[in-house]
Amino acid sequence: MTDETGEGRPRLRLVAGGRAGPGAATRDEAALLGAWLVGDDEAFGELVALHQPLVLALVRRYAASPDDARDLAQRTFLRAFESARRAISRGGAVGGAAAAVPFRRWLVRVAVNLAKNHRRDETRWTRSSEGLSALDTLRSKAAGADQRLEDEEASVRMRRAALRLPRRQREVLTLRIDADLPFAEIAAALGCTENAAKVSFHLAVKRLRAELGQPQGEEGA
Amino acid sequence: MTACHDVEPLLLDRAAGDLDADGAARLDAHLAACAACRAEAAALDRTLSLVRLPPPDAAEQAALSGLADSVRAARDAAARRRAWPVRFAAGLAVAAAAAAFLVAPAYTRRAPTLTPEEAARARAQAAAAAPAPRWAVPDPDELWDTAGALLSDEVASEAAAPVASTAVASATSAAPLAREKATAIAAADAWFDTDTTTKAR
Repeated sequence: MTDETGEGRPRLRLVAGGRAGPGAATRDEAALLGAWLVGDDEAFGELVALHQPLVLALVRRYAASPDDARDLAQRTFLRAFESARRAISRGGAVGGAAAAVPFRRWLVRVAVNLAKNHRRDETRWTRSSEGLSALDTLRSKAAGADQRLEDEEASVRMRRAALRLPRRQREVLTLRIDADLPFAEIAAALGCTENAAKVSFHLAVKRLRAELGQPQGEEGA
Repeated sequence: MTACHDVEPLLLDRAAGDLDADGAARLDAHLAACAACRAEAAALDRTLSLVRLPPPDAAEQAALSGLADSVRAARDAAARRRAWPVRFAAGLAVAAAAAAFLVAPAYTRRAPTLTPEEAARARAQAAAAAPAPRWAVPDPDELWDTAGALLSDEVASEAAAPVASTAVASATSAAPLAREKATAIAAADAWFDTDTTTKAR
């Protein structure tokens, strides 16, 4: 899979996207959580910075605007920190508990749940681009402009279809293509088997493929 | 899907970015020979590329700047809300102590030095608050008559018995009165009412 969503993201994206060695990532996270627990406010900021690209990737599909995305990201962090605080205060022993807290998985789960309840009828990715089309038509009749317009409209249609997928299919699809999470991590966050996650992804892609319709000519190349 | 049936899983795995080396080799060999599956692979690629979001733009990146600070601020605000009951109780205790400290001297000083109009108002309030007296001060003449009536035993016993029972009934219907108080009043009523009954006769 080509990683076209990777450009322009902060440098920590590799860790957040799950491509780094899991050992290294969790050690960092556990160390930061341990520091946060003993009152290190720097560690809190670092934890946010570490996971910020992941959280943004998870919530932006459901956001009506960049500010809405920020709001969703903030709520995701708050709930995940609250869960961690509770789990650790229940767990007692500070050192061991910090390592046991699956903070990143909670972030994913919280983001998925927030997205589930978030208004999805009018995101910035499913808005009809009439304004844009009018502007483009006025601006130029240059070669490629029509194709771009067509793609834009098809994108809006397909993103709407993606949000209308059955819940599990939509969750797996977006965790996979928005956050590039491995299927094992998707399964852990959603509480299903890795195979079930793959099946959900296949079903989602088949549905969306049907929504696309028959390809005309060499369009797909 | 218009692809060959046994190749479909490979195409979907490829779309998911989850195709192992062995599967990739088999798929490539098939795609080289099958135009329909080539078209289907391209359609799947296009499907996912249309659904995918563009990378975060400048506005999104800017909206996230300082996220750690605002999450921290929201966290602190939540912590303050959690501490609210304890703080409220402590604040209430302090406020009560302060109020007692401020108000107590005012009471001790004010009591003996009521101005005439304050005293009048207090009396008016007391009069309004106090229930109307249940019986008037007995007239000495009536007392004398009653005493005379009581002298003859048969008249007194005849008159007192029914009257006392009605007095108790009326007293118990007066809600705020305690029961023992009611019986005491009933006894007194009976004593005074004997006079009216004797008079009525």
